[in-house]
Amino acid sequence: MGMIVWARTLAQGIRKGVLQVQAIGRVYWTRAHTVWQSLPETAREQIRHWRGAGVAFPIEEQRALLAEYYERFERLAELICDAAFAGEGAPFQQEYAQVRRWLLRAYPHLKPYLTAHLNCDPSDAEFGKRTAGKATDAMEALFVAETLDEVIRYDQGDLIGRLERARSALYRYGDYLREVIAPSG
Amino acid sequence: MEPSERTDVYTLLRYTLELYIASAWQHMGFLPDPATGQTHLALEEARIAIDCADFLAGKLKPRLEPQEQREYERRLRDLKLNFLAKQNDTRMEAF
Repeated sequence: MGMIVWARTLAQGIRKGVLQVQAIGRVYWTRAHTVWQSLPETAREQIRHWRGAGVAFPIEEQRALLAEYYERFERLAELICDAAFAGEGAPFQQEYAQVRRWLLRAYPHLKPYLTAHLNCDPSDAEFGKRTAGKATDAMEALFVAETLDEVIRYDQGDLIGRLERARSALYRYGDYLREVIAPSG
Repeated sequence: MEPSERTDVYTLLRYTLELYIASAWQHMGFLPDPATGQTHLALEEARIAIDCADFLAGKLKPRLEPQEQREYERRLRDLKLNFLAKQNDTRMEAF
């Protein structure tokens, strides 16, 4: 009898240990995966992060990022526009998801600089709260929703104005960078 | 008399595309109708004109230089944006 109880306790102990190891493994895997996902895309970005110099973003790099960002933004604007015009987002969803992924990754780098050139409107923050549960600026509000259908469905007539505000901010930021670069160049 | 050069379909497409673009601006009330000299708002017609322009631009796309392609895309986007803005205004006025 004592032997059986002992064996059962041992078996339970082993099972508990296995479960614990599995749970720990899962936690570490999730962490590692998250870290991997959050890693910057380019080696240059990575080095900047390691050096802790995320704040000082060289002007030339800002300009390069802005140029690339602007292209993606225009594509996003086109997709939103096409979807709003067609009244449905599904046909454009795949490309939207692709552009959105890139913008979500790049925008945190641009935001500290762009904010100074961005006009605020309460509808932008409200849109973010409605779709993603967090306040957003005009730019973020354009790609915070996971689907293009949500972008259209939750629009209360502010979408076009929001697109214009975001685009104007990019223009102004571009002008600013040109002015900063011009004296030295 | 020398035989005249044939009109290829792409030239025709460009020409028609310009007509539809102009027509869309007219039906949105941004340009006066050349026949009456007056502006008017006919959003449903504007939508059809934009749809047609979009279709024609798609057919023309493979024959365009990248710069020209971007220019057409920008023009069509402007049209659509203005259409949506006009549509919003009309809805607001209805309320």
